[in-house]
Amino acid sequence: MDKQHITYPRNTIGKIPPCPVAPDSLQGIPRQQTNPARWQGEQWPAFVVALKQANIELRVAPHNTGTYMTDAGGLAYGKPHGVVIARGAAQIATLMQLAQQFQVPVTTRGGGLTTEGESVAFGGVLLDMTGMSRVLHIDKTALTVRTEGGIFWHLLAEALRREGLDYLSAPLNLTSSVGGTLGVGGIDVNSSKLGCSADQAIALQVVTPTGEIVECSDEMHAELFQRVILGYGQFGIITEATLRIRPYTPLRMHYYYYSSLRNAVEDLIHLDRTEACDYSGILTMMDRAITLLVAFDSDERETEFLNHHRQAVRGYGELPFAIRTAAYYAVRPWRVKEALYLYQRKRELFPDLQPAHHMQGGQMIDRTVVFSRAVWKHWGGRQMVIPDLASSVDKFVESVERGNAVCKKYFPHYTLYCVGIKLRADHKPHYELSCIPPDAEEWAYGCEFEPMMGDNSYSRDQLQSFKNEIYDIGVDLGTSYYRFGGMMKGYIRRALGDEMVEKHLAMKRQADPSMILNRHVIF
Amino acid sequence: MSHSNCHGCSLCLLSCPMWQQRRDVQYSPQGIFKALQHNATNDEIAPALFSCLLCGACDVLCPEQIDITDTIKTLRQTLFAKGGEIELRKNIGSLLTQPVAETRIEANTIILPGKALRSMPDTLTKIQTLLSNETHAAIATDDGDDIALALEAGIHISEQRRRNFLEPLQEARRLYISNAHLLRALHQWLPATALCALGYSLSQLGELTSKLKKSDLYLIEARSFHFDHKQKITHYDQLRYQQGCQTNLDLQCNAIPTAAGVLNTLQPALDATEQGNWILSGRNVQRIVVECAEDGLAMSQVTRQPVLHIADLMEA
Ligand SMILES: Cc1cc2nc3c(=O)[nH]c(=O)nc-3n(C[C@H](O)[C@H](O)[C@H](O)COP(=O)(O)OP(=O)(O)OC[C@H]3O[C@@H](n4cnc5c(N)ncnc54)[C@H](O)[C@@H]3O)c2cc1C
Ligand code: SF4
Ligand code: SF4
Repeated sequence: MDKQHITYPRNTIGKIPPCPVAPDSLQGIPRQQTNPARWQGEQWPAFVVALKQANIELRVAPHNTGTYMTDAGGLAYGKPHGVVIARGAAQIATLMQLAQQFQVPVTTRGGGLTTEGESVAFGGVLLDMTGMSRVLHIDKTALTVRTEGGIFWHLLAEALRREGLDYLSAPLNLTSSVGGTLGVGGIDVNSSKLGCSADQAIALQVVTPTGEIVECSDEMHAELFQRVILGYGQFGIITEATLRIRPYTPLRMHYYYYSSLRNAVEDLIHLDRTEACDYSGILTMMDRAITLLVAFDSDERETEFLNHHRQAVRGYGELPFAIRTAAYYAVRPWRVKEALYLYQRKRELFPDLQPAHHMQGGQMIDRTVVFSRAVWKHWGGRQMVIPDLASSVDKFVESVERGNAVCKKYFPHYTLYCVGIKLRADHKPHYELSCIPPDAEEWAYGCEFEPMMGDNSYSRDQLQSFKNEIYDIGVDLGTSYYRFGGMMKGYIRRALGDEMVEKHLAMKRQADPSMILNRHVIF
Repeated sequence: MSHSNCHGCSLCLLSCPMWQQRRDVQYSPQGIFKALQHNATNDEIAPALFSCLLCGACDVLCPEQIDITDTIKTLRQTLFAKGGEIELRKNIGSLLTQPVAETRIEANTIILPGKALRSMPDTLTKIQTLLSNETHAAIATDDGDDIALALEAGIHISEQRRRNFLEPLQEARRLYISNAHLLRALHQWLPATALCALGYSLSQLGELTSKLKKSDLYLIEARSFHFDHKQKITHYDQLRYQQGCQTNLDLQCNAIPTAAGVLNTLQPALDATEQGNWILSGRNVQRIVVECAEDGLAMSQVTRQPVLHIADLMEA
């Protein structure tokens, strides 16, 4: 199709436009939120010959391409024409030059933990970045690490921990990659203090969509740096990254329990504002059982919290909460099922949140291992539906409460996971058209809505409708989303406005003339 | 759970030495299973199948609880049965025709040390002394090295050979077995006998472990450890914190294996030096203590630091 003739629907923030699909289809699902059309491979044979001449290995067997059929979401399905395992910046640069020349789409994939198909290739080349996953240099004095872009955060942690060091913050998921995360965000339970992973990158080596290898940072090629960080892979492929690191510390954990979501969220915000703790987050089981996680890097910080801030936290300790909950259900015998669910959930989940061999002297040795394994065990599966809302502090309570109401409508059981993200004033340009909401100052807040699907099977339509309803809240409130790309890209214009999207589209067209790098994610 | 349950979470990659050396998903349980889900032939996945160390770390990690190592062994068997891997078959052939000893051993406790430990007679004598409590612990004359190799490679074991091997062991109440493949098989073949991993049993002797120092790297034998991870992790976790020694446990609490193993020696698919260096990387250790003799041999190739068997701590 001629790019000049594409017309985009114009909407204003805060208005949910009429559904552009047939009136009898599901409410609120515009056409672009289904799998994109597969690229038809017009110049594929010539491209394959050129790759071969350039000595780039391309795998085209069905079992090679089939390995990358979907992402962690398991709702988007697409097959590349061929797979390239990333082995170096020069190889990727050549790949991109040829891809531009032959107009072949290239989809970059790290851990493939997206849930809207952003790391799924609908034809073209799938570039598997995990082939570039070595730690290159650890600078113990400057507290920085240089690593290849496809490395899993967990493997980075393995290397750093041998030196008594640790990364600052990363997704609580062992198999997300550094490159995939810097382009998306990276939220940890310490992000309210240290910011998102993307803000910890000092410098990057990037292969641009036209195949140049460029080193960039806030000082060097700053504009490229700004676009690649939180840029959903639109402006370049991250082949190497220099990240800030820190001395390793185990965590002193405390859990406080609430039966009011609003109180828990307000307390979370208060703790972040007063810098009372080093880690914080909310994890819900149901409306009556909400957990506020609070943790510390040192005994001093823990003691300071207990002496000066604990009284401001309205949540209960485990025993008082158990007694209150038992009393509540004792006088409401018709809610026995709910009580049993809570009891069973506590019995199954809690031991996995503090397994003996990952604890020492009451301290948690590695939060990511513990939380990530619990996530996969208790929430994981073939389909992972995790819509989210990312808002300013002011809109957060409402976002969470409205999202909670939507969850209740669709699923008997679900979990909300809320965390704060400290923002860097000097990184405002990085945040444009990203998961960081434009109106957020100092902190942004994110809430993920995760159904517990268990052995129940839900239709794709039902799951899609659920996601749409959550995302619609964002349009209504003018928030952003952690996962607005891929099948949800229709929301970007609606939530962030045409002007912003057009500005970035113009930059994208300039940087990527054939519009081949990570298509269908944003543009 | 079978390979069709793999949903591609990649968790199995994290402790997989085969993947870590290649950084290519084809060489991982995920790659093998996804390929099978897309109709790959056994020949197409053969290179990965035969690069696997069968260390069992992936079994512990898989949230779908797929029995990965058993699946890989079964796939190897199928491949051999169909006449694949001709070179490997040639190499293994001579090792399988071992002389067979049929003499029954008159002992309640028998030790099956394996080839490497047999070549360390002093250490073996110490092990014998350490494990002879109420009754004398005898050393098996036939410790089934060939059977262990066949199990690892996925080669058919004749019924007669299996019977000959088991016959002398029938009367024993307790067996200490060094080879983890053999240990797993014996659980099926001799269900009534108490079967103990040799290294793990030695690591439970306070008289030995009390001699571990902070500057030691203690190497847990990965295969039998992962086979029974839930029970053994508590023991090794206590060991490392009580003695203050370092171990080869990674952040997932899986044991990083050496590339030792007969199959990898015959047809090296993984670089033993790279594997050894990864175990040592970033560590400041003055001595390496192993509970498996093969691991000791592998480590002594990559370090100048002394490498000794845990049983040798008896003297230290
Ligand atoms: C179970 C589960 C738990 C999660 N928990 C968290 C959490 O706690 N915190 C959090 O922040 N997120 C979380 N996420 C989201 C996920 O971690 C992020 O999407 C993640 O950081 C993506 O990393 P990845 O390597 O998987 O990237 P991919 O999914 O592979 O890719 C993400 C995007 O970046 C592009 N890309 C990939 N690699 C590169 C590269 N090298 N250069 C340029 N572009 C690239 C891709 O094309 C794609 O558009 C979770 C997801 C799941 C499924
Ligand atoms: S057994 Fe070990 S080498 Fe084999 S796939 Fe599993 S983790 Fe990898
Ligand atoms: S851990 Fe299990 S489910 Fe996950 S990719 Fe590996 S084999 Fe598949």
